[in-house]
Amino acid sequence: MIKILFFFLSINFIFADTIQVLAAANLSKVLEKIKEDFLLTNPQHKIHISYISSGKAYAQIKNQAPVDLFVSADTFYPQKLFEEKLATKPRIYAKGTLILWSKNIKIKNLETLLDSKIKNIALPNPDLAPYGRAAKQALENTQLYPKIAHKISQASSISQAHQWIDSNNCEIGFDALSLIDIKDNNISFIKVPTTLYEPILQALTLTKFGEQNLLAQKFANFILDSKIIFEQHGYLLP
Amino acid sequence: MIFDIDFLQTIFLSIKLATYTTLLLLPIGIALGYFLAYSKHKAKIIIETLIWMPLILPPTVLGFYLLICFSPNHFLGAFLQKHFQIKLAFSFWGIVLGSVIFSLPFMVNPIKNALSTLPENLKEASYTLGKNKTSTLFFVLLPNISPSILLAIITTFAHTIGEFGVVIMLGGDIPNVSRVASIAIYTQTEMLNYQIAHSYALILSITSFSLLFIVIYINHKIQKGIL
Repeated sequence: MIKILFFFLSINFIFADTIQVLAAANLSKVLEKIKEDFLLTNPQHKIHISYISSGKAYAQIKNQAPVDLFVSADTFYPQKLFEEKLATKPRIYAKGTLILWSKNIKIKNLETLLDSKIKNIALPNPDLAPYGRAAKQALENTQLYPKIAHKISQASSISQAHQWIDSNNCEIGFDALSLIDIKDNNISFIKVPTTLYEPILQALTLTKFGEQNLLAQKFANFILDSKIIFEQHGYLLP
Repeated sequence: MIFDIDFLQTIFLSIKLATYTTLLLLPIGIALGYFLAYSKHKAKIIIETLIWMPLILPPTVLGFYLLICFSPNHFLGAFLQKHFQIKLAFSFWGIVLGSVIFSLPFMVNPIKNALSTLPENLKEASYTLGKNKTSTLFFVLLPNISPSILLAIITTFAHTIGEFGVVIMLGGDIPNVSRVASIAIYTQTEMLNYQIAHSYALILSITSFSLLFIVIYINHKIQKGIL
């Protein structure tokens, strides 16, 4: 019975021109821009994007939420969905750029972290956030980690780390280049050398639910082709 | 069930946070409860509204404002850092302070209600016998409402154990500082470690049930006039 119902539902969706997208919260700026561009050439369609954390998106798709496309901030969750046969093979659409930035301290390089003026260093949870993992790798590869471990304030997500630096509760911290305003002259930032951390790959995947949906396929391909927009927003190309 | 050292530390931190919060709130609750029960002050209604606020206000709002207050860009944060080298954001005492504000109504209201229902002549008799206000409060009034005080203590403790929003906004996710059990469930779920999340959830559920059971049991006894 449920199968029959599901069959009718999916038939319905093939003709429908609305898709449901789940995307990582910190993609909101860049993805809204891409969506805008996409709708210029496809004005008849509707694209609903919900921004949540990648982990919650995974849980929703696993629980059969009617989602067509999942744009993750990492490769871990899309890969897991793929292994569980709930989604197509993940495709990399961008690479994240890890930065160290501050609102009141001039940053020369990573050694700036040793400055005695710095009491709190914001770092997203390395177990959860890809940028946190990359930051920890960079600190370990430069042997800085043991010297500054006592100053680290572990945030629960990249967005929280950003908020802490932005509100000056942390004098300095690790963040995604895509989240800061590089035109702002009052901030100081450096890109962490990419040799110090494994690439922060970001992947998207079509769910079993949206796999056959032409609009979902088209939008996914459009995202993969939006290289210039991603570069403008502080991402590296895969 | 998984009981490794991290797990036990996290549970212990939850208990530590709830204990300190309750201990700090007890004198505050008695003072404010006494004021609300007996004062004729014009500002009483405003103060009462403010005390009730944390019950309605999303905890994230409280956490958000406190984080702004503690920032060195603002008066309080700058003052504390300059004169006492204290930094409240991402510190254990920061989340204690947040919890104290958050659980305020749970401590104040039962004490205030119990004091208001005490017969007037209890106070009068005590004054007539030459006792002053302070000793009347501590030796006459409070002993008479001890079941309600116990009630306030347990509900405050239970409420703090279950707190999430204030802690995550103010403290983040730092082991031994701000990673209490409710935060750990969130983190472990995000990491897809459902087994560990289950263990935390089960312990918190059992704790909540037990504490609530005691509260409701005491309440029954009070209503029957046994306590």
